[in-house]
Amino acid sequence: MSTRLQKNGDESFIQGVGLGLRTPHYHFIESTRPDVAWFEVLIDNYMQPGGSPLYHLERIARDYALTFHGVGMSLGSADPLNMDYLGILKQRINEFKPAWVSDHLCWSSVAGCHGHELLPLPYTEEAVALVIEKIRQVQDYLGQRILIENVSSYLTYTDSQMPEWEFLNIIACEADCDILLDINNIYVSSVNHNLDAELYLQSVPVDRVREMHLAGYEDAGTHLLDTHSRPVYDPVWDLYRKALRLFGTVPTLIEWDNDIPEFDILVAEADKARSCMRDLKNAVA
Amino acid sequence: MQLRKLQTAMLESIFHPSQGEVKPQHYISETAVFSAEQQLDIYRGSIISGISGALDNTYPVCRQLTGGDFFDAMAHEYIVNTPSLHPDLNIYGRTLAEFIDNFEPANELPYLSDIARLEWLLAEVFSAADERLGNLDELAYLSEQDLQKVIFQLPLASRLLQSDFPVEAIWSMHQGADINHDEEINLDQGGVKLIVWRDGLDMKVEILDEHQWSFLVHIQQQHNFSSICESMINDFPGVDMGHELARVIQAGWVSFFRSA
Repeated sequence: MSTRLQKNGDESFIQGVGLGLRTPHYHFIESTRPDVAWFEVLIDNYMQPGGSPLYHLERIARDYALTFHGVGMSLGSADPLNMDYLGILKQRINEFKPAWVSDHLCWSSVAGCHGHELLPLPYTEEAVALVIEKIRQVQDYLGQRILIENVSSYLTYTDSQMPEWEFLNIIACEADCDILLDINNIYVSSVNHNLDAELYLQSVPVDRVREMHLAGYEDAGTHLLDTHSRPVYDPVWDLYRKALRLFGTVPTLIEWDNDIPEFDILVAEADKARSCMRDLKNAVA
Repeated sequence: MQLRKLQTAMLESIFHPSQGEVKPQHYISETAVFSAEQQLDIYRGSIISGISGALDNTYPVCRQLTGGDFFDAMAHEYIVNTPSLHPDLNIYGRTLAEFIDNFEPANELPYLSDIARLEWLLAEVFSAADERLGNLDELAYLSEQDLQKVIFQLPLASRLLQSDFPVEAIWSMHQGADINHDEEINLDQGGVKLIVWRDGLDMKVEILDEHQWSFLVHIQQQHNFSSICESMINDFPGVDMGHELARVIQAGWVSFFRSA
């Protein structure tokens, strides 16, 4: 049996700290097989039928456990789900058997037009009902639970009736899905909207958090931007340590999507996250 | 506000700020720091730059030829007039060449739209479906009569392009890190007929002679070998069709055949 078949599809292999798989690192990963717990695949980049992207993904999948992370479901859109997109996603799931699949609690399209941005939702009863229904449809179609991720936001809707964490909790519980808690996004939104990030963490249902994300933001002066283009900053590490105390050593991923550095920079970030996990274990012991 | 109305108004405001009846202040709360419009502007900036970045990736030579500022301005015009209709951003921009044809500021570069066509085909071929080894070995066992009925197939990862300009030379000059900006290409040298294809993972752009072009266009149109021979012998008296068939097969431009 190949390593891939042993590893993929088995959630128990997703432990510790993983890295986002990015194109500039293909060659390094394939030629040196670095010690990485798992790779998270930005699955929207592997939707086309062949060529280099799938070639490299197949090679990497032979030796590493994978999770899939998407940006295209548009779960909060007033439009119906895009079944063509989900069909290809399901095909990729069957081919690569990721331990799990995640997407975002947001909308990115309406009336068939796509903005390719993770746009926040108004925290309303209408949005709650719509997203719950969409997640149920996705989970039924894929035959598995998905994880939904909280997004950064730079605006506040007049119609919002509840805090973001309540919105997230109701949806996750009612749709019976899991949560990918992005610690950087919580921090960015808490600064932008003057919210209590710790209260956010304390309000998230512990048993639904399956993964956490860490990334770097940019300070635009008047607000923070979730750019995934920097190392994780100290306030986010602090928040992460608090999250670990609440949720335990949940599998954690380092995300870096713009101005992508050498692979060893990502490894160093992963080492920091692992160190946070070790500190927690030592404190508990 | 109903969710659909809010989302429709928001995307409308992002791509067409001066249009739309529902203004951002109707659904976005003003803060101590930002007006509703300023908050939306943050998203407008990230959306336009994100989609524009996808065009940069697909059309790097067009960007080099026009210069970054010109390309950014052209991309902005294209983006606000051409909604993305698919969740996969990698396949946005298919109609940029046609847009350039009608984009007056680009008239000074008459070959630009054909360069865009070439770059789009490269993008399509880059991630086109992989193909299993074809059945061309079996051609040797066909009778002459059966060979005449054969319909050939171009590789899935291949496209044909004809241009009135030397686009292959222009494109080639802008590959790699060492671009020689002093080199000049004579536009009067005439047009080209090309095949854009993938050999394994290697992307290739190759110039076709008249015989090769004619043969491959007939194949693309799903004519059987008998029709191809008849047409090409008519167009190119004395052409050796056995030789021409061997050439396109050896080049890798035919993937398999089926009998009609």
